[in-house]
Amino acid sequence: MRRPAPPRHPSLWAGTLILALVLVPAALSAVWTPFPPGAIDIAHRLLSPSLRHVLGTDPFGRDVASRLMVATLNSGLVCAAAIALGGLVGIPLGLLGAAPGWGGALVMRIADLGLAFPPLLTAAMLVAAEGTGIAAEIVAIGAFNVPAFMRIARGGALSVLHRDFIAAARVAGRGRVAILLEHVLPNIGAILLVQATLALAIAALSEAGLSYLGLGMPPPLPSLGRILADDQARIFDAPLLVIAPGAVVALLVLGCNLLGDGLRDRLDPTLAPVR
Amino acid sequence: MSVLLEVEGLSLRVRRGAEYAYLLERVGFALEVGGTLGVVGESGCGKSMLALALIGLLPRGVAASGAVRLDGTDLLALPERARRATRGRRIAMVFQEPMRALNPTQPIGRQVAEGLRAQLGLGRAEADARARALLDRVGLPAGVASPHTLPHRLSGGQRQRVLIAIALACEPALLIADEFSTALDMGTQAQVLALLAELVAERRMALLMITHDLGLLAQVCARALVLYAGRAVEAAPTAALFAARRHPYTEGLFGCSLHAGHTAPGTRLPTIRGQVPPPFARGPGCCFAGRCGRVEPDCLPEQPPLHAAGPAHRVACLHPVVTV
Repeated sequence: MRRPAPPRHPSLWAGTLILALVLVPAALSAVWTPFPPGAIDIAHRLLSPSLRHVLGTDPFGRDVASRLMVATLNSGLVCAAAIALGGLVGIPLGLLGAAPGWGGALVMRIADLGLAFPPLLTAAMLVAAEGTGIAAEIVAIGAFNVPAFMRIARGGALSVLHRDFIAAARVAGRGRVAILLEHVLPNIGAILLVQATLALAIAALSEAGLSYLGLGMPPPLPSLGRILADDQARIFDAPLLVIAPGAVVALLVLGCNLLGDGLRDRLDPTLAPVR
Repeated sequence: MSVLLEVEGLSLRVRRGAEYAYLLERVGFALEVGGTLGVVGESGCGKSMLALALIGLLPRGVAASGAVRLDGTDLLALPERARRATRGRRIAMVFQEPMRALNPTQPIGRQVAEGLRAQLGLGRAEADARARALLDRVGLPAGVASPHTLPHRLSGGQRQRVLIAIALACEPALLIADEFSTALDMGTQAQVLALLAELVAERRMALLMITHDLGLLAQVCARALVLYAGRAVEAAPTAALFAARRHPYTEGLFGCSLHAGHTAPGTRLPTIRGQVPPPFARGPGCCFAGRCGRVEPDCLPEQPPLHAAGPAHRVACLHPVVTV
């Protein structure tokens, strides 16, 4: 009897599985939650987990599982939007930075300056300047992703630009922009995807941190960091209230990192382990 | 026959600090419609730079002077926008490394159609149909490779065929082949070479082949230009060159070639001692003087000019080899 072959990219599968565990219920919350996430029911406050309330209830009698589902969705959407913003701004700037001459160098020195600020501090500063709100939070998290995307895009573009098919495209009479879009970008797509996945992990942490500090989403919206902050005083009488949102953040980060590593192995054959 | 390409006094100059050096120095030749010219020389002689200068893709920092006239228009004087319109359409290039000259993320059909759409302004459907026909013509019919195939599914020889299809797409008048097919094994090389020669003849294209393989030169090119350290040292019909070399460098090149047919097993292959002097270390005299066995005191003060050494045969040497 043949044994089934081990999975070729274990971390890819593990990452996908962990993310699915967290994100599928989150996505479900858009259409259905066990209880309305905001419904206060003082009579049933601080219940232990049961079949009715899988993760128990909080000090206001709200269903913890329902609130976590919605909070994960909120946080996830903010992170995804922030990464999209970082990529949309950072990738074109990075390609610009690959241009020869002082223009490209200038662009990259500005990126270096951006990288010199600690990410969470940058985000906190931006939120402090713009005021809290979903948009401000997305911009804050997106902003520190811009230089990271710039460097990855530039490095990739530089390695692609000296290859012969770029010269061939120029011989075919293509212009600069067309070459960047059709020949350079698809060839660095894989590393950008990996970067996006890994950046998502950092964004999830930052989002939790910001909303924990009260710099994230405004109050009626549940978010992972805020639940942690609100219920941290209960850690001794109802530890699950704090452990559950913490665990969700940890799983998000772990899942993204594993997925990112797996994607890198899968998409970049030069880095794949020798088989 | 009418002249297609006329290169006159072409010099390529680079600067390092206050110093200048020449990658090519006053190189001149002409190529008629449908003609074939082989440019030979060691690595570092400026062969590839010559190709890049002709197609207008010189790296930054390399300044060109002289004239490159295609159908009487000096390409060096054209602004970049006008120059771009000649690429692919009037002059095309087959690249050296079939493994690196195709975009790994794009299906081959689209890469063949790229020039058709960019230069001839064809619509997607028409360009795709032409690309399909071109792939058929270069020996990649539907059963072997579809236009949707990605490059990594093809062998080296098949990729080289795709590159030929790309170069031929816009029916250029001049095709430049830089170290064509040297990355392939001998059998495959012979096949794609025969294909290239056939297509060039069929479309009456002029072919400029850059090579260090004298066998290729003999098979494909009617005329040969020998470059050494950025200078043209000998120019002759290939047959005349194979019959009698005049320049000691050309003689040396032939001496160390396996194609010359004088090697018995066990004998040592002769070599030219030393290396090509790098651009910043070239003296005023004959650039080959340092490696030449026939060097005399009068070789050193100044560069020997090209002078006639037979019918259509010119050589830049004061003491040329005389065959008995």
